[in-house]
Amino acid sequence: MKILYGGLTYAHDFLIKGAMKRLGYEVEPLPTPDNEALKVGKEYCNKGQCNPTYYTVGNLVKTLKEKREKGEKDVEKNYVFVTAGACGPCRFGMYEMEYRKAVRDAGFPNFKILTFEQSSAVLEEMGEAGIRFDKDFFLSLMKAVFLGDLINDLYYKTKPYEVIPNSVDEWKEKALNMLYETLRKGKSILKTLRVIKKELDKVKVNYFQPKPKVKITGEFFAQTTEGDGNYRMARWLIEEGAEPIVEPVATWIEYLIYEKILDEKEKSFKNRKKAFKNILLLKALNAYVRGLYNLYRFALGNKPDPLKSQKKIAEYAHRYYNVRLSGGEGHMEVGKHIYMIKHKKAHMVISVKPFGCMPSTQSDGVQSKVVEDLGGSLFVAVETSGDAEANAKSRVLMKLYEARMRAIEEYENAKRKLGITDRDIEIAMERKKKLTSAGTKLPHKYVSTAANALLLVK
Amino acid sequence: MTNFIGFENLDRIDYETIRGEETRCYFCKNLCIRTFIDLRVNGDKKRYIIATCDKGEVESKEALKKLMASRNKLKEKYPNFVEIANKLLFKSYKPPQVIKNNKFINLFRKKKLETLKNTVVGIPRVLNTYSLAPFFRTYFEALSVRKVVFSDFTSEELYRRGSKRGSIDPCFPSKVAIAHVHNLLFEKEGINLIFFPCVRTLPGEIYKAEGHWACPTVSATPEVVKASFTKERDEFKERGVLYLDPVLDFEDEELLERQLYKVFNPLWGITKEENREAVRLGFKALREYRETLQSKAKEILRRLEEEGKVGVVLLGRPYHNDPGINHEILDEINKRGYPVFTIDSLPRDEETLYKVFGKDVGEGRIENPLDIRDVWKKCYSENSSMKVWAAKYTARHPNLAGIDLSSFRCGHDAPIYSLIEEILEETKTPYFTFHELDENKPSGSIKIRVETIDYFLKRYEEEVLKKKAGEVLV
Repeated sequence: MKILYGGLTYAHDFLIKGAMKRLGYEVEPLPTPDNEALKVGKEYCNKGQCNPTYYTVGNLVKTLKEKREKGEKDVEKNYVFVTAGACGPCRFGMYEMEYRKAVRDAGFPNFKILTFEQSSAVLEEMGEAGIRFDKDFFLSLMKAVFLGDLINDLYYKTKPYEVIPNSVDEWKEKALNMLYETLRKGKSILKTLRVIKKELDKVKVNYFQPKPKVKITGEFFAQTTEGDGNYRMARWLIEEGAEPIVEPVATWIEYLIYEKILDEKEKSFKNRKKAFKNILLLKALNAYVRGLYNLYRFALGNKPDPLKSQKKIAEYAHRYYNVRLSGGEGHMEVGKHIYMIKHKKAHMVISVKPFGCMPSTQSDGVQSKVVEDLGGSLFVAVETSGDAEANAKSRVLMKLYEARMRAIEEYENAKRKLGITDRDIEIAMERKKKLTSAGTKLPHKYVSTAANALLLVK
Repeated sequence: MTNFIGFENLDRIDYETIRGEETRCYFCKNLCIRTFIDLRVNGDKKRYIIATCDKGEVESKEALKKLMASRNKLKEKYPNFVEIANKLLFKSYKPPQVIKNNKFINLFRKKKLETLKNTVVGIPRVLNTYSLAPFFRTYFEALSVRKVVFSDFTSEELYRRGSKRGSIDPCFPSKVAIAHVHNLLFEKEGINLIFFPCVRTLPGEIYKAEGHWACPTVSATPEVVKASFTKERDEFKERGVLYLDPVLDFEDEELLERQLYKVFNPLWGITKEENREAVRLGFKALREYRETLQSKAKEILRRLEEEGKVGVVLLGRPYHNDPGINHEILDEINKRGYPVFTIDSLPRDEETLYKVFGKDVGEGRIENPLDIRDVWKKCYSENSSMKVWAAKYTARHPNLAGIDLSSFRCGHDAPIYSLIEEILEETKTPYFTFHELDENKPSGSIKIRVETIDYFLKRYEEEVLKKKAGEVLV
C-alpha cells in the first residue's frame, strides 16, 4: 500500500518522503499541481469551487488516471491518499468530500481518502490499520516541514544574488538529498545542517545589487505552491530582478496553536482549571515548535528568518480585522502586510489569492485602509484563476517598478550615509570572503539585502 | 385544452403594437409605459399587455381590483413564507424592560443610562440578520434603547446609491452590505449606533454536527464595511455615529452573553443580570418567530396533502429572503398558486418530523430526524447543513418541490451543488435551480423560467400526485 500526498513545495514533499520512509511507509508525493490538474479538477468537482480545490483534487485524479493508463493494476487497492482535514469555517474542511466525489466520478469508487484526524479505530475499520497518525508520525512530519521551510528560505535569499548561474539550485538539490538521507536513516539532523551551511558558504554571491524585496502572502495554497496555482510567482519575481520572501509552513502551525490558545482563553470561564492546563500545554507545544525551528536555524548560521511573533501579527491586524474571525489565513494576511512594512522586511507585499477564496477576499477588503494608514505601502492583491496570467503579472510589474525605485534609492542613500563608494565595495569584496559568501548572515537595518550588505563593507 | 389557433390561421394573423402616452400605467407612482399588442385573427380581437409588473397587465381600476382580489385570495390560501418571515423577522416582540430601577446602582451609571435611553440602533438588513433579527431587536428593546431601525430591503436603487465605496468583489449579499450601512448612515434619521456584528457561529439545529459556523465571507463583512467608511476619513465619527461590529457566537449561549456584556457594559453600564435577561428574551423572541412560522406552515402543508397539490421549498441561505437578493423569483412562483416555504418555516414538530424521516430513523440510516450524516459528513457550516437537511425533507415529502437559490461566488454552496441535486433526484422530486444570482435582475428570463416551472409542477400535480393519491386509496 502506497501513501499519496502533496500540496506543499517540492522541498517539503521530498523531505516528507524521507521522514515517512524511516517510519516504514511507502510514500509517493504528487507532482506540483499544474493547469492540467486544474482542468481535470474542473471536470470532476462541483462548479463554483475555489481554485485550490480544483488544483489539488484535479492533481490527485490526474495522477490516478495516469497510473491506470500506464497499465498499473489495482490502483484503488494499492494507493491511499492522506491529507489534512478541518472542521470549518471555510470550505477547506469540505475538500475531503470533494476528493471522494471526484475520485468516484473519475472511476475510482473504492479509492480511500484518509485525513490526519482519523483515529486508529476509524483507520482499522477502513482496513488501514497499518497507518498510525501518532506522535512519531506528526513529529517526523513537522521536522521535515521545518527543514523544507529553512531550505526554501535560504534558496530565495541567495538565488537572486548568485554569481555562477544555477549554483544555488545545485546547492539546494545537494542539501535536499543530504537531508532526505538523514531523515530516512534517522541520523543527526543538526550535523547535516552544519554540513549544508558549509556548502552554502562556498556558493559565491554578489549582494551589492539593489533588488526590491517582495513578500508573497495570501491564501495558504496560493502562496505556498510553486506551480501554475500562483503563476510560479516566486521564481518569476527572481527573473524580474526581485528577491521574493516566501512564508514558512511553520507560521501556519504557530497560527493554529495561537488560535487554539485564544479559543481556550475565551471559554476559560467555563472551567478555569481545565483551560489553564490546556493553555499551558499549548504554550509548551508552541515553545517546542519555535525551539526546534530556531535550533535548525542556528545550525544554518541563523541566516533564515525567525518565525514572526503571532502575538505581534495579531496586535497589528486586530484594528482592521478581528483576530477571532477564523477561516483561511484569518487576520494573518493583514498582520503580515503591516509587519513586513513596519519591520522593514519588504519593499512590497503581494497577496495571492485563488479565485473564490472567501476569507482571503474579505481580508483584502480592509487592505486598502491598511495601505492608506501605512502611508502608501506597496501592496498588490492578485487573484489567480489559472488563466489571465499576463494580466496578473502586469499588475505586479507596475508595483514592482515602484519597489525597484525604492530599493535603489534606499541603497544609494545608505551608501552616501555610510560614506561608501563603488570602489570601496569592489575592494571589500576582494578582501572579505564573507561578503561574497551565500552563507553569510547580513545585519538588518535597511529593507534591501544590498543596503544591509553595505554594513559589512567597513 | 390548448390555446393554439391552428396552422391554417397562422397566415391570417394581423396585429398592431401600441407604445406611448396612451399605454402609460397609472396604478402606482412608477408610471411605466407599457406595450399593447392587439392581435386579430378571423375577426376576433385580443389585447396582450407587456408590462413590468402584474398591475400593469390590466387596463381599468375595476379589472385591477378584481385581479388583486383573486391574487390575495390565492395568496391567503397558498402563502409565501418568505414574505411572512420577513414580517415576523423584523417586527417588535415587545419584550419587558430589563433595566432595574435600583436607585443606588443607577446613581453611578446615570450618564450611561441616559446614553442608552437616547440610543437609536441601526441594523443593516443583510446576511445573518435574516435569521437573527428577532434576537437583536428584542435584546436592544429589552435594554430600553429609544428605537431599533433596520435598513431598507435591498433594491437596485439602494445598491446604486450606496455601493461606491466597495473595493473587493465577493458575493452580492456581502457586497450589498456597504449600501445598507450607507442607507442607515445617510438616509435614516437619528441613528447614533450602527450594530453590525461579525456573527461567527449560529444557533445549531443539526444533530451531532461538526460545528455551526457561519460563512466566513458573511462573518467578515462588517470589518470590510468598517474599512470602507473609515478609509479616507471616518464617516461614522463625522456623523456622530458609533459603529460596533463585535464577534458573536450564537452556538454557545453562555459565551454570547459574555461577548455582548463586554461590548455594552462599558457603553451603557448594564449589569450582568440585565444583560443575561435581555439575551434570554432575545432567544425567546427567536423561538417565537420560528414557532409562529412553523405552525402556520404545518397548516398549509396539511392542506397540500389533502388537496394533492404541490408547494415549493426555498433551498437557500437566510438572506435569500431579501427580495433584492432573490430577485422576487419566489413571488413569481407564489403568484401561480404554489405556497413557498423557507427552511426556517418547515415544520419540525415530532409528528411531522417522524412522518418525513421516520423510515430513515427506523431503518438506522440516521439517528435523529435532524441528522444529515448519512449524506453529508462535513456538517460544520450551519447554513449549508440546513440546506442539505431541507433538501432531504423536500425529497421525502411528496407534496414538496425544491427551488435551489445560490448567489454567485458562494463558497459554501459550491461543495453541495451536486449533493442537493442527487438527494432530490433520488426520489424524483421536482427540483429547479437559480444559481449564480448577482446584482442583475434578469426579469425576462426569470418569467420564462417560472412559466416552465409552473407548467412542470402542474403536470406533476396531475400525473404524479394524483396517481400517488390513487395508489394510497387502492
